[in-house]
Amino acid sequence: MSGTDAEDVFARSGHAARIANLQTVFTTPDRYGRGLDWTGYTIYDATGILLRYLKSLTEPVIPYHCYDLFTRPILAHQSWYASQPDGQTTQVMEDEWHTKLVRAYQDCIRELPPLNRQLLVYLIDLLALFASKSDSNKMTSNRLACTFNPALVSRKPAEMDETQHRLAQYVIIFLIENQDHFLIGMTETEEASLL
Amino acid sequence: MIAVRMAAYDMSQLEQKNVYGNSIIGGSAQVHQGDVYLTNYYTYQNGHAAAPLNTRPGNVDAFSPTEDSVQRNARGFAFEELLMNSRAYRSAAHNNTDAFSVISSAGRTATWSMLSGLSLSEMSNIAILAIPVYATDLNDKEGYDFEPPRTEATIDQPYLAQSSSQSPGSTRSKRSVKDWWKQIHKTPGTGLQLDSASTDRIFAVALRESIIHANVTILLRNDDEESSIFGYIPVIVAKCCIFLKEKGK
Repeated sequence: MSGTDAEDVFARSGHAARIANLQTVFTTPDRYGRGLDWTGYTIYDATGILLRYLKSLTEPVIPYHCYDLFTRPILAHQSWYASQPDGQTTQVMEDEWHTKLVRAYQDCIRELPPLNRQLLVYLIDLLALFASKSDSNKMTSNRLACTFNPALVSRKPAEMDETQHRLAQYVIIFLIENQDHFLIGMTETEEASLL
Repeated sequence: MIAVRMAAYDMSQLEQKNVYGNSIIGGSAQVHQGDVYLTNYYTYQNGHAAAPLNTRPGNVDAFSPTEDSVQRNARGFAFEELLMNSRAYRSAAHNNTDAFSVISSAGRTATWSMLSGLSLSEMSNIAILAIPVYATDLNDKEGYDFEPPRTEATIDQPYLAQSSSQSPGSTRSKRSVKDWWKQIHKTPGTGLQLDSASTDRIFAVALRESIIHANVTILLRNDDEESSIFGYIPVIVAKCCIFLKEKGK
């Protein structure tokens, strides 16, 4: 069974002591975890330390100052949807909006600071892979968005409420489900060469 | 009408708390085998009915069916079909494909927490999850601290390790979860056992600083086998992602 098939990956916690060990490995100079041997660790430990790391950063992967930029397209779509009588929409209109949203988010991603953009694209690529295996791992893009949205897109905790939280989730869901539009030429990766 | 509103509210709660259909079946809340989530969010009633702890007590008495007053069939409650056809549910389903509550609002709220009566020694594992409850959701918000912890390392590491290793006879393991929780928050920063100097370069810093200390270059290969640099990501992200994609458990 590969990691992408493991049930509830990202939603299940790893072992606290093993995750603490991983944190020590990844924070120890000079190698900072390069060449780490994963023997004895489970994928739940790996997802645990990954999420802990992302949430520990001072800002989400999409920085605070870009939050409004990323939620604006979804808000526009929502207000358009609300303005339709009884939520009646045609497939053609939905398709038009979909194209519009994809373009808007391509622009949003281009506006991110380079390091944030690279990390976001890399993570969305990973999440889309897991979402594509949701039949076996039970992690739909919806559940993945729940787990990752505090780490990826959020306002400062004191400024968040339920509405904003949902909004942030929709942003992540949209990015995951349309991930192939956001790769920007990233097809073959070679990260192993430096590990 | 009240029933519909309550149910819709519960549904959003389920969604918000990252608790999903596969763990809540037929009205019983089940914790994943071997894991105890410290969400403290679900309450048991009569062993099998469960409902989210309502954070708005004003709603509690408006609709609280007893076991007898709610007819159940194989698909769930009798009113479930009506609910699913209601406008509120249909529009929720449109926005959110996973949103489906099979337990709706059965059960009273303040009965028995899944963690009541447990000691730390009976828990195989303890995790701390960030649940999206915000100050605006709580009536008694002044009693809670909504500032994010300065670092993840405020958890007393040896304490966690000990509680998960189930050592019998340990006086610590007999403490309640409440004491343990208090202990974590009483001593921010002092429980840190890791080498804080090196920890601070990777965890709990700005992304840029973290990447400067430990990065991996991502190379792109185009159709002509030419490589170009796509960018840099933290070592920890690359290592975890490669492990997750390839090796599995």
